[in-house]
Amino acid sequence: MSASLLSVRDLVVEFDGPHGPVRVVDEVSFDVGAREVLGIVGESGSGKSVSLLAVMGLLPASARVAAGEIRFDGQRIDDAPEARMRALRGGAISMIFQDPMTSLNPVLRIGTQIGEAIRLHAPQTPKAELRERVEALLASVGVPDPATRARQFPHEFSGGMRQRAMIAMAIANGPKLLIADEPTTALDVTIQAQVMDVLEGVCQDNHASMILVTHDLGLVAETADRIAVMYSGRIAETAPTDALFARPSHPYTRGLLDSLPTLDAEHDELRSIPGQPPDMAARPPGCAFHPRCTLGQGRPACSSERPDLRTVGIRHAAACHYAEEAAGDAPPREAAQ
Amino acid sequence: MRAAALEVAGLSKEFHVRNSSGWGRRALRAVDDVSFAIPPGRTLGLVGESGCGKSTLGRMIVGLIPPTGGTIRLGGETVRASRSAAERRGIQMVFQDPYASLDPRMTIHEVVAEPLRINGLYSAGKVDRLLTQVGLSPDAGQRRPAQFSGGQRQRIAIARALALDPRVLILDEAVSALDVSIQAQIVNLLRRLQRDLGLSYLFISHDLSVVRHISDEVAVMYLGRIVESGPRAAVFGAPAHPYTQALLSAVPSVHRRDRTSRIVLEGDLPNPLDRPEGCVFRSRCFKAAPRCATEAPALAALDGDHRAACHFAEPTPRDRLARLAPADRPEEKTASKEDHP
Repeated sequence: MSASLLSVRDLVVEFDGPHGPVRVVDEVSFDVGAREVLGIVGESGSGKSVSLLAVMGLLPASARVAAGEIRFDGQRIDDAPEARMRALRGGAISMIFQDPMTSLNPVLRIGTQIGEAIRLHAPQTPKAELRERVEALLASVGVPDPATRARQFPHEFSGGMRQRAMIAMAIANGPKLLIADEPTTALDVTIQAQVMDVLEGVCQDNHASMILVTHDLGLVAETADRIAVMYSGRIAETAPTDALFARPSHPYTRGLLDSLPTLDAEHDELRSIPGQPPDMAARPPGCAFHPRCTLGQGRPACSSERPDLRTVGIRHAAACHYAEEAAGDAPPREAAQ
Repeated sequence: MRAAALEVAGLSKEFHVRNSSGWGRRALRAVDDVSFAIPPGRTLGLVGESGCGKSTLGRMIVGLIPPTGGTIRLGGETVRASRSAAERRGIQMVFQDPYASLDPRMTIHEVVAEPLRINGLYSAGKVDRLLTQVGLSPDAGQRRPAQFSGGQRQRIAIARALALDPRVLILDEAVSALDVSIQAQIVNLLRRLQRDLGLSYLFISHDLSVVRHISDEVAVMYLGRIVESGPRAAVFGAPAHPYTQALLSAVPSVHRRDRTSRIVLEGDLPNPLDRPEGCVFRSRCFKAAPRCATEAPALAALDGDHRAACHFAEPTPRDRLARLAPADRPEEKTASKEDHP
């Protein structure tokens, strides 16, 4: 996998806690290939957003990369000087955040903000050309009447339109990698469909890769080529999208799929995962999922030995001592309809 | 026939908002002539996108805001504008955000005891029973909200809502803020409580999959109006209103990963201050015709209890929805005339 655009190896991120450092991301590794869409799924607090903030070099002051390495286009960026990160951010790597209302400046015109993203990387751009590029960008994300819209303020945009403006800003400098952190969570489902179409379209047009972070399994199922499922700061399972849904091999992935009500299946009682996700500062020994796991009940290995990701299929890995068992009694999801 | 646990007829709410000039006020019709009935022990799921008036409707029913028009009947009796204690006890509410809806300074015992004390019904044993009923141990009563996770807090909010033995619970996005695995626990709890206590639910949510799972009847709201309603199997199996059809086709699913089967609506929800004449949905509708601009469609029966407010209502099985609307590339069809000015 020497060809991967982004390569994260054994990443550890620690936050300062009242009783010493807390490992919020614990030896996470993943790769994103050229023009690939990687979906990262996990519940709140699973470490998915923090991993990507680490990639962007945007961790808060109370956090640090304690171990591991991050390579972009073959070069290490986890220890890169701030000047280099500034050139990368909004350039070759750009990020789209969940809430466009808080990530746009309310007192600046939309066009000014998009123009700023261009100027930061090309300060000499003449004004007229800048205006043209801003309007072309807005048009490319489906904002009607871009000349007028560029002169409006964020509050004059609806939620879906704001997210389009954010996408325009993110693609202003032709990024190779787009990181979209819950890009449609704040949007309604009919608007979400529009915005996802735009996102996929800009990735194709720019030949860019994308990391889509979300808690919505349905959304990644539609969009991603490959999926990584995170639980309590670690990757529980990673697989090509079809394989993950056809043969979930970690009890947590299975639990998530089972607890999801769907528009198709008929179920009297949802099969929920008992208990709560663990406190990061006090993870259970062994497998962090074992107190909630039906498979691991009473098995000594689960409470003493931490399972590492191991191969269970083609490009398919799960961090479970009994992954074969978890997968084996899983009826194929497609057939379950 | 037994009286419905909750029945609303012609319920409307107008807010008066300031003009953009700052002079004078305009009427914003948030809820427009809404009627439905929920039988005892049943659930009505109310679906709609943000700003469609579903929360305003819930708040009117529970008495937090006075309606502009229409009636609310609880167990066959019309609820008066100034509610009696019994009427207030009969309808209780669970809110979306369990981080905002519990007083952080109160112990859990006090949170659940508060409605009982106000009504002079307090006993420590009753609070313990309520906590047990929602799956918490009575010992939890001594702790404060900060020590609980989102799912547990929502259990506490449910215990508080149940304290006065209501007949109707309004659940306003009650599981929307929770993670999937926890959401399933709370949905199962709600269904068990309904079976045990014979409660009626108005389950307000934007999540169609959860609504389908929990509801007996479903109503779909758009811009203050119910555009389609009926038994769950009818509305989800063969939606008739173009808006419901688009909503259902747009839900991402782990089972149907075929993006081409989606109907992508144009534009955004219109500004409710400036609602389209005629049918409120016509500005985004793929079936819109000249008639829609002049004549507002009434909520008319299609088949038994299945109703839709559309001149061209046509119950269509979900797997055939894709054939209804042309699947253009989104870049070409994003013109949004109705964006907020």
